[in-house]
Amino acid sequence: MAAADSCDGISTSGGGWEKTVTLVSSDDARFEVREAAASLSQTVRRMIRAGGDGGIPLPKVDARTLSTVLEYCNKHAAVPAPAPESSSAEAAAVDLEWFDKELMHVDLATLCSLIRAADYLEVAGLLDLTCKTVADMIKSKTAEEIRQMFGIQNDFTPEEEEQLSRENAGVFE
Amino acid sequence: MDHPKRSAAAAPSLPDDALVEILSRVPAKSLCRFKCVSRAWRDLIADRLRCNRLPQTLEGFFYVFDGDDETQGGSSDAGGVSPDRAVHGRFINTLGKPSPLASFSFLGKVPGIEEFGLLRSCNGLLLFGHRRAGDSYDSLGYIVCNPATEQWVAVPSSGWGPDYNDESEDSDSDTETSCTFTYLVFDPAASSHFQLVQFWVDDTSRVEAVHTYSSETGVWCERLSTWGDDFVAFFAGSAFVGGMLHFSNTSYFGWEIDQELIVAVDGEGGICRVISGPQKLCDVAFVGQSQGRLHYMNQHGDSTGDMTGLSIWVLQDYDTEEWVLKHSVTFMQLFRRMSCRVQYDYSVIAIHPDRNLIFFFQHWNLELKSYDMDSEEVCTLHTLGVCPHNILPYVPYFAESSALAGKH
Repeated sequence: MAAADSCDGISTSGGGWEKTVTLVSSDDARFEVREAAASLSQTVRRMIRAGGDGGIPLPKVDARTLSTVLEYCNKHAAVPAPAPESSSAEAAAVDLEWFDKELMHVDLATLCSLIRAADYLEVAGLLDLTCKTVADMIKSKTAEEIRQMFGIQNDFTPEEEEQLSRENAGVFE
Repeated sequence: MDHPKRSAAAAPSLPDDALVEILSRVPAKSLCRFKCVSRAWRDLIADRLRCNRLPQTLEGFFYVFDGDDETQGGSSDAGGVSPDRAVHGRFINTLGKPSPLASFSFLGKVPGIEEFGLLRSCNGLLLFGHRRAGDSYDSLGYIVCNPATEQWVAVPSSGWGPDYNDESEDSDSDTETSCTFTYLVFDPAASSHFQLVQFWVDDTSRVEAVHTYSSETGVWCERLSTWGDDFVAFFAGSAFVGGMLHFSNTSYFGWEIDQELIVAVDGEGGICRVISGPQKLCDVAFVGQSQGRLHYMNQHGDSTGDMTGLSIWVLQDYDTEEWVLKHSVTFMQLFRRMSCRVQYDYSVIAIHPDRNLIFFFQHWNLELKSYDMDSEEVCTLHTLGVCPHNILPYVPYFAESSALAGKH
C-alpha cells in the first residue's frame, strides 16, 4: 500500500520522473514544486486531491513567504527513511537541524509571516519550528520589551498596572 | 491608522490563535510577566491558564530505558536524566523529533533522590516511582512532577513491599499480593490537587486491596476492595474521562468468562460505574480517551484464532452505554504482518486527545508509529533504538500548582 509510506516524506516514484504541482502566491508568482514536497502542506494536499488544473491558488501567502515555506518543504521532503543504525541517518538528521536553524535566522516580522503561512497551509513541522523560535526569542523579555517588539500599546490604567504587579510579586526574580 | 488595534498591531502582527501557539511554548514564569503587556495578552493568558478553550494538546511522549543508550556521543540534551543513574529518559514530540522542550532532567540534580522510574502521566503531571539503588520496588515512594513548571513533590511509600505478605501472616487475609499498579489522577479543571490510586494485585491480576493518596491530606488510606474475582487488564492502560479512571475488566462466572466490562474508579479508589464493553467477549488491546469520549480497542481474529486486526470503538453516549464501531484496520495495514499479538508484537501507546490518530509501538524493530483513522495512513515517527520501559503521552499543563510545593 503506497499510502503506508508516503508520510515519511519519501518520493515513491522510482523511475526518476517526479510529479510536480504549481502553486500560485497572492501576488501571482508561480512555483513549480515536487508533489511530495508540496504535500507537506495539508491544505495543498487536500487541494491536489480535489483536482483541478491551472495551478493551486494560495491567496493568503505572498511570494517571498511562499518561497521560504517551499524551501523548508523541499528540504524536509527529501529526507530518506529513518534507518536507525546507519550513520548516514544521523548525519541527515544533523544536517536537517542545521538547515532549520539557518532558515530561522530572520527578523520577527518575517517569522510572523511564516507562522501565518504555516498555520494557513498546515505545515505542522514549520509551524512548530517557527513558534518555538519566537517563543525562545520572547521568553526572557520584559513586558515593555514585548510591547516594543510587537508594537503593542499599553492599554492598562495606572491602577490596573499596580494591581497586576502586586499579583505578580514573587514571580519576578 | 487612527487608533491602535486590539492585540498585536503594527509591524509583526499575529492572529490570536498563532499567538496562543507561541505562548504555549513559553515557560509559566514568562507568562506571568506577559500578563502585563496589554489587556488582550492578559485575557489570552488568563484563558490559557484556566486551561479552557486553548489548545493544550498532545505534545509528545516521554520514555525511559536502562543502561547504555543511544544518546552516547549523540545529542545528550534530549531531556535525559543525568548519566550516572541507571535510568535514562527522553522526550520526542508528535512529529517524531527528540526535543529538549519538556524535560525532567532537573529531577536528576535534586539531592536525596535516588533511582526513579517513569510510571504514569495525567494532564501534564508525571508520576515517578522512587527507590533505593538496587531495590526491586518503589521503596522510597513516589515523585510527582510537572516538567513544564519544573515543580515537583515527593510522596511517601504506601507501605507495600515484597515482605508485606510475610509480615501480615497473622491477619485474616489468606491472599497474597504480588505487585502493585499505581495511577495518577489529576484534573486541573476540578482541583489543583492530585491523587494516587494504587491497586494491590495478586499473581493472577486480581485486585486484593486499593490504597489511595491525596496531595491535600498528604496520607495514604486503605479502601475496602469491592473488586471480587474480576481480572483487570492493567496492560491495556487506563482512560481518564470525567474525572475518573476507566479500566478494562473481565468478569468471571465460575471459571467461565462472563463479560467484558469497563470499570470507572474515582480518585478515592471507589468503583463509581461499571459499563458493558462493546462486545460481550473480546480481546481488549487498549482503553483511552479522545475528544472527551472513552475509546476501546480490541483485536479481532480469523477462523484459526489468529489475531488479524484491530477494532476501535467509541462510547457515544456514556449514560446509555451506546458503543459505536468507529474504525477497523488490519494488522497487515498497520504493521505489514498478517497476525500480531498485543503486548508481544505491539503496544498501543495512546490515542490523540483531539484527533483520530493512534500511536503504536512496534516491538520487533522498536518503531513508534502513528495511524490516522481518517486518511488511513501509517507513519513511522521514530525508531527508538532502545527498548523502553514505558512510553507515556504528554499534554503539558503550564500553571504552577500549590500541590507541588517543591521547586528546583
